[in-house]
This record gives sequence, structure tokens and C-alpha cells, in this order.
Amino acid sequence: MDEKRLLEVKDLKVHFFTDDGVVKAVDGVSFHVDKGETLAVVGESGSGKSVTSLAIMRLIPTPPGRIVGGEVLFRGKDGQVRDLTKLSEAEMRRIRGNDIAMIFQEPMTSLNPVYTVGDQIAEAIMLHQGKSRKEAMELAAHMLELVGIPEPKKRLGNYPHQMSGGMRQRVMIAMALSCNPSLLIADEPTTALDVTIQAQILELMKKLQEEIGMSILFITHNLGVVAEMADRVVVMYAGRAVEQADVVPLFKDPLHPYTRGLLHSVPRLDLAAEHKERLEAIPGNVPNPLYLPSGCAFHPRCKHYVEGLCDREVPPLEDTGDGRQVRCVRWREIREVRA
Amino acid sequence: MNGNHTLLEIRDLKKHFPIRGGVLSRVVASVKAVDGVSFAIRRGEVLGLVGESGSGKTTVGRTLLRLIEPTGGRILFDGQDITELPKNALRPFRRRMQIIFQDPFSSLNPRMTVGDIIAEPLIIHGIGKTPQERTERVAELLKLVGLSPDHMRRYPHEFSGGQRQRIGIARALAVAPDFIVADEPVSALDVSIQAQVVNLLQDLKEELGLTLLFIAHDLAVVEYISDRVAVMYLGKVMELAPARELYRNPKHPYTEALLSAVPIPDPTVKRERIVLEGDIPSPINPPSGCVFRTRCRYALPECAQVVPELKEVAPGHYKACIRDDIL
Repeated sequence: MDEKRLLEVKDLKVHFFTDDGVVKAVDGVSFHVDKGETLAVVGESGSGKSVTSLAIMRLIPTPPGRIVGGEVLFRGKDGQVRDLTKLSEAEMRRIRGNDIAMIFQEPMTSLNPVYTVGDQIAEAIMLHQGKSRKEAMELAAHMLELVGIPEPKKRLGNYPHQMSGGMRQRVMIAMALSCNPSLLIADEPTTALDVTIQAQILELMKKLQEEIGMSILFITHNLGVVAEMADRVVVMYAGRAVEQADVVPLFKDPLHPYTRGLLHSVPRLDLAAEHKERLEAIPGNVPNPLYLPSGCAFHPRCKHYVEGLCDREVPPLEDTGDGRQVRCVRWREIREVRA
Repeated sequence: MNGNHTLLEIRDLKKHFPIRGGVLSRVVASVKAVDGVSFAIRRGEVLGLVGESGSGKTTVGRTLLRLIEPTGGRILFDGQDITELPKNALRPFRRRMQIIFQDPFSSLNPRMTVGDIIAEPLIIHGIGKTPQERTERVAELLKLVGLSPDHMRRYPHEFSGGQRQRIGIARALAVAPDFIVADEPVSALDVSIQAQVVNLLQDLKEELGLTLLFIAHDLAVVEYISDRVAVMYLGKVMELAPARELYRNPKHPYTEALLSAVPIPDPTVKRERIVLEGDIPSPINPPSGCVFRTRCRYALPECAQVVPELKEVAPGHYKACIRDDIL
């Protein structure tokens, strides 16, 4: 693996074996995260973005889910590259928290309501760094200060319900960063928060990333958040990556019809009012993962769909030659027509 | 503002929820969810109501429909005071005022077919005498919201979120109302589906001449559909203005901060962001004077003394802030 690579996901497949059939939640996804970089994985519900992040952490509920193929190569703090899908549960526990930490959408459900936040942060520190309780509590207070919680020493004794949503998310971040992970996976970390609180948390994450130099894998459906946070973007649809590019070219010149549709369907505050007559919606519905359309899963909603071409085989993820990737058989034509 | 064109008006509307405590369950405090809100909606107009959680926007919507009873103030619908109308006298007004809910999963009865869900308000209000007439009306409504009449015999779980929201809209439209409260109608939906539902509401507004109160926390969505927008914070209206005016030229510090907090989906746009410190204070014990002053970067000592009135600062542009020297 390349020296600057921290994480490389290769052809990852996660399937759920349900009574109704096999749900191919993630079906051959590949991407990488470099050191110090923020990669955003964008998609709507059912795209497989959250399952991908859970699979990296080996947190897929088994049964019904299982990683059925692919590799997750990760460079540990010791410099050694391991395939996380092959590690034992004990080895994986050393990675979680220590090397890779994760924060979730709903900070209320990821904190234990019957322990104080101090106890919960200290527990992680004692577990992973072998510190005494006293040292761990001191470090916990320092972490709370780092994430901008006022009166951190006093707050250590608070229970999660005594804090607001924004404060709880700060606690989650403090806990996640307490062991200096090299990769932070943030799964919709601001989705449950109000927009002014979201702004606080995004600023905080950027500041901490600069200070600590960790990489972030940012899972979100919010394209505004992507534009603000990401260096590179992977767009997912129905369990597959359909486009991958640096953030600026992706927003400026989206190649996949789905990416393009998604960007156009978002209401924007910054455009002049005369452009605001109507939103360009993507027709149809997000497909049922049990019955994915044949060929390109987006074809029933795509205005560039050609019968016999798009509905036969799953298009390959092609390199475009300028460091981007796209999964659409017609991307060249579509790009030419637009230019 | 109470000309012939006003369909709905609220004056100094208040809703305080009591908090009981102690062995005698006495009222020990109250949550001032809505604390003196006034506005009027003209016939055919869409008024957007935005605010963060705890601002009281949903409570305003429910109180003006009298789904919850107001603590104070008046509600006038089509010129008539409906604040204290008894239940049976309120019924004809209920037919004219409907609501669309946020969550398309919990607002439809899972044991009823889509046809029965949409026909229920018809039966309650005695519209469509025979089952046949009702079925025809349901088919018509399903087509109106972009679904197929064949969907009538299916159950809600067979539909996606966006389709369920369409069913909820069809139900609200069944009794041909004049006025609809849309309470966060798109916030539970995927981005690509949100646009569909916003466009549908816009079309229906044009076609049927609907008057809407569109409640949302997403400022960008509100701008697309609203003629005027009111911004709420801690139970009070901070600013009210024509939509374009409010977004281009916010006059209240809270609106300014709220707009600057919305991430723009364009990585090349760099803006100065006003990051508000802290959280929304508790509505049980809101700050004295201006409720926003604890997070306001322009706050003066006077802001703690007086509750600012919502006053007109430009034609049709109202703000509740004592500082006229800013923005």
C-alpha cells in the first residue's frame, strides 16, 4: 500500500441475509483515505454509506449481515498494514478506539444514560492507554476543554440527559479523540443537530483535524456539509460507488447523472432569486434494495437512459484520466454534450 | 393587516405548557413554547415559518388549528374569531383548515388501505354521499398528487417515504380546504425526493389556490416555496419579511447568524460565518428582555431590560430588535 495511504477499501461486499432475500447493501465498493485527508461518502437512504463505515469497524450485526468479500487495508499506528476483515475480535478491539474511532448521528443513543460523561470518557482512556482512573479523569477533563465545553471539570460529573444535543456530540467527539486515533469515522454527526449547532460542530472538527492531523471519513447526505468539509468525495447509490473525485471538480462538473441530479435538486441559499423558480427533482424513488433494477441501478430514474445499453450489465467504475472515477457507460457523451 | 384578503390571522398568540411537581402536582413552572406571536396570512399566500428546535414553530401551527388550545391571544379565520368556538361550531372550520405532518411513517394508520385513509375525512365531513362517489374522489386525489388510482387498495408500508408524504397530502386535500399547515413536510425525506414534494406543493398551491403555512427548519427549502417568511426563536417572532428580502437583506442578528450557518453546496464559495456561541436557552426560564441577547454579538445592556416589539423597519419588513444601527 502506498506510503501516504491510511485506509484502502477494496471491492468490499456486505450482504444481509433476510427472510425476504439477500440485501446487497454494499456491493463492491473501493476507495482510499490518505493521511490527514477528509473523504466524504455521500448518498441517500439505502445507498450503503453507513453499512460501509460499520463494515470498516467490523460492527455489522451478524447475522443477518456479513462481509462476504473484499479487503479493508489499514495502516496502524505501528506502521503495519493489516486487513481488518481478517482480524480476530480481540485484535479488532485494539484497533477500535485506539486507531480508528467513530461518532454517530444520535449522540443520545450512543452515550450510556446511567454513567456520567466523565466515567465514559475515562473508561475508553483506561481501556486503551492503561492509565489509572485519576490520570484518565484528568485527561477526560482536558478533552472536554479541547472540544469547547465550558467548565470541563464540573461537566465530568454530568449525565448525558443533562446536556443539550450539541454538547452531547462534543462529548462523543472528546471520547473518540481521547486516544489519538489516526482515522475518525463520522457517520452523519450533525444530522440531528440544529443548523447553528451544526456550524459549531463542523468548525470544531476542522480545528481538531488541523491540530491532531487525523484523517476523517465523513458519511453524510448533506451536500452543503460535503462542500465544506471534504477534500475528496465518493458518491454512493444502491450499494455501489458511482463517482469519485476531488471536491471542487465534483461540484463543478459532476459526471454521473445521479451526482448531477442530486446537486440540482438541493435548494440553495446562495443563488440569485431569478434562478429559483423551481427545483429540478430526480423522478421516481430510491430503489428497494431487495429488488434492484438490472444493469445500472439508477437507470429507471435517469434521463440519459438508453434501453438495451444501461439495463443490461452493471457499468464498470472507469478511470476518467484526470484522477476521477465514474460508473456510467455514457459519461463521455454526456460530458461532451454539456461542453 | 386585516383587510378582506386576510384568510388567517393570529394576535398575540400564547401557549404555555404547565410543568407540575411535588406531591400535589401543583404547577411549578411553565414552558413558554409560544409567547406572543402575531401574523396574518393572505389568501393564496405561502407564509414560511422557520426556527430551530424549541423555537415554538410547530406549536404555533398546531395552536392556530386548535389541535392544542391556546393559553392566550386570538385566532381569526376568514374574519371570524375561532379562539373559543365550541367543538361543534368549529367543525365547519376544521374542514377548511388541514395539516400535513413531518413523519410520513407514523402519520398514516398502517391497518387502513390508502383509499380508506384518504376517504376518512370525506366521511367525517359528509362529503360524497355514496361509497362510489367517494371512491371517485379518492382516485381523483391520488392522480392530483402524482400517484395512481390503483394504489387505493394498498397499505402504507408498501410505499416509500416520498409516496407516503404524497398520500398525506392527498388526505389533507380531500375536503378541499382553503388553508393548510405543512409541518416540516419534507424534512424526513431524501434530498432527491424533497425536491419532488416541494414542487408538488408549489403546483397544488397554484392549481387549487391554496393558502399555506409552511413550517420548516431548512431555510433553503422555505425560500423556494414562501412568499413571506417569519423567523422564530424561543417562542417569539424575531423577523418577518417578504422571502427574497429576508434572505438578501436580513435585519435581525438571529436571522443573519442563521443564514450564515447554512452550509452552501459549493466548495468554491467562501463566506464569513457567524458561529453562535452556546445553545438555545430553556423556554422555562427565557432570558429577560430580548430572548436572543445571550447569543447575540450586537447585544447591549439595554437588551436585557426591554422586550423588543416587532416593528416595521422597511415596507412589509418587521423585526424585533432595539438596535436600528446595525444590519
